[in-house]
Amino acid sequence: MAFKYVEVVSLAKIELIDVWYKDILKGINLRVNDGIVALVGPNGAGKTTILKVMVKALKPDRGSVVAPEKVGSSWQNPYYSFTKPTVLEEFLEYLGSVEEVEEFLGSYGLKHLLNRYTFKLSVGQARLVSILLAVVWGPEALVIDEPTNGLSLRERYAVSRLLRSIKIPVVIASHDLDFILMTSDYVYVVNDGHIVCEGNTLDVFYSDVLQHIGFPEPEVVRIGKELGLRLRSVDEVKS
Amino acid sequence: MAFIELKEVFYRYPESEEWVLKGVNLSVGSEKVVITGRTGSGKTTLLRVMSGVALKVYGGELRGEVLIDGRVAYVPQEFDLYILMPTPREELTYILSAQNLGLNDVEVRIREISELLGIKELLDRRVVKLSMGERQRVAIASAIALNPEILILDEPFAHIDPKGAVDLVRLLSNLGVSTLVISEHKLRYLANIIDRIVVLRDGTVVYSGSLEGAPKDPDIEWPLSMLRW
Repeated sequence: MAFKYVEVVSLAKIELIDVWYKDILKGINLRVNDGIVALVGPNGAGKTTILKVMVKALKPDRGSVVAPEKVGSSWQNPYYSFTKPTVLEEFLEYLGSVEEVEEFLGSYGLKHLLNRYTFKLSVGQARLVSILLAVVWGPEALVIDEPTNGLSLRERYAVSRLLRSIKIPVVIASHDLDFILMTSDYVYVVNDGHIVCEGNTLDVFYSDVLQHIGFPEPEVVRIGKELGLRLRSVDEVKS
Repeated sequence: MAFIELKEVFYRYPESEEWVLKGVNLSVGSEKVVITGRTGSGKTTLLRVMSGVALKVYGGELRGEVLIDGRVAYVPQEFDLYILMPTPREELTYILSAQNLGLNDVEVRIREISELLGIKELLDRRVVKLSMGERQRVAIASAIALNPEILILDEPFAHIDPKGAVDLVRLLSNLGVSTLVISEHKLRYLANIIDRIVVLRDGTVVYSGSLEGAPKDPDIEWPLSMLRW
């Protein structure tokens, strides 16, 4: 009997099917439809490698990858995103005029960075600019590695608001548990190249899965359990 | 006793008009200090000045007085640029043999340090193949191998996973280094081991004292256990 060629049609925006890569990824299955999906796991678990497979920077040894053509990305070293000498020039490429760039940066409280040299930004500033650059050109999906490293609390809230406000699927890899809890809709727990658990963010955080991979219980979760509430952030109690 | 003292320190980078540090007065003795403040407030620059690398590595202009007394080890944010050898074992061997230790002692120290940092399994892997979090541990291990009296860490928790962070706090509190200076946003991990918090804003010190007495500042990330509602 002859085999028929069957084209894989996926309804998911991003999908990895049984992806293997060297000894880092060992059969990853993952689907991203909409909303914000987070990869959580210890150092060296394979989170960054999964993101690199998604943007097709790495070709898996086995398995298939479905991803849109235009994927915006921001990496652990935020300076990788920069190709122009100043912040203004970076954004002028996508936004027509200086006024528009000013307005865009101003809406995220970053107007003061307009004329700065990109390589002279501090790590935190560079991270914010790099995330905005990943968003600004209208990609169909977004991949962000460690979005909150080097950011202060206020800036983490700003990034969380930004990610929640855009209407394309976003995949983040992070071990900032508080940030994931308040930002993401769905969580994949990655450990040693496998996906060991997946589920709704609140379900995962309010189970003991994260403790099983050795993570301490986030303070928000502890307080939530004490109060008998499934909190996403402390602000919910304050309000 | 090791100490660092800064008096009216101004610093700017080469080819830059703007002063990044604008009159910093700070002295650090035998204590654990956290430096915090929003991005761009000058934390990293302050650590570069305190560790003595600002002028040597970056150049620029320094005004005021900087006194550094003691052996300093500094782990910068861009730590992976400073790991020179192909594997962590070679890196640690290189550092330790420069201290005139015998081969056996080097082996013993490597075992001790790698157990402390949880990098035993990584020792013979290639550094370029390690994840950022793993490299950060290697960088901190190398700093500890220098046997410093003053240890300066720039955002040591940035890439380390939550389990690693808990281990690192335990390690830092038992390290036996007399002076510890850390720049960090997330005070929650460090709240129980630090003696003092220094808040920077726009290149000057706006608060220096206990965590409990610190001003309500949206850039200070309080440990939840200390929030009062």
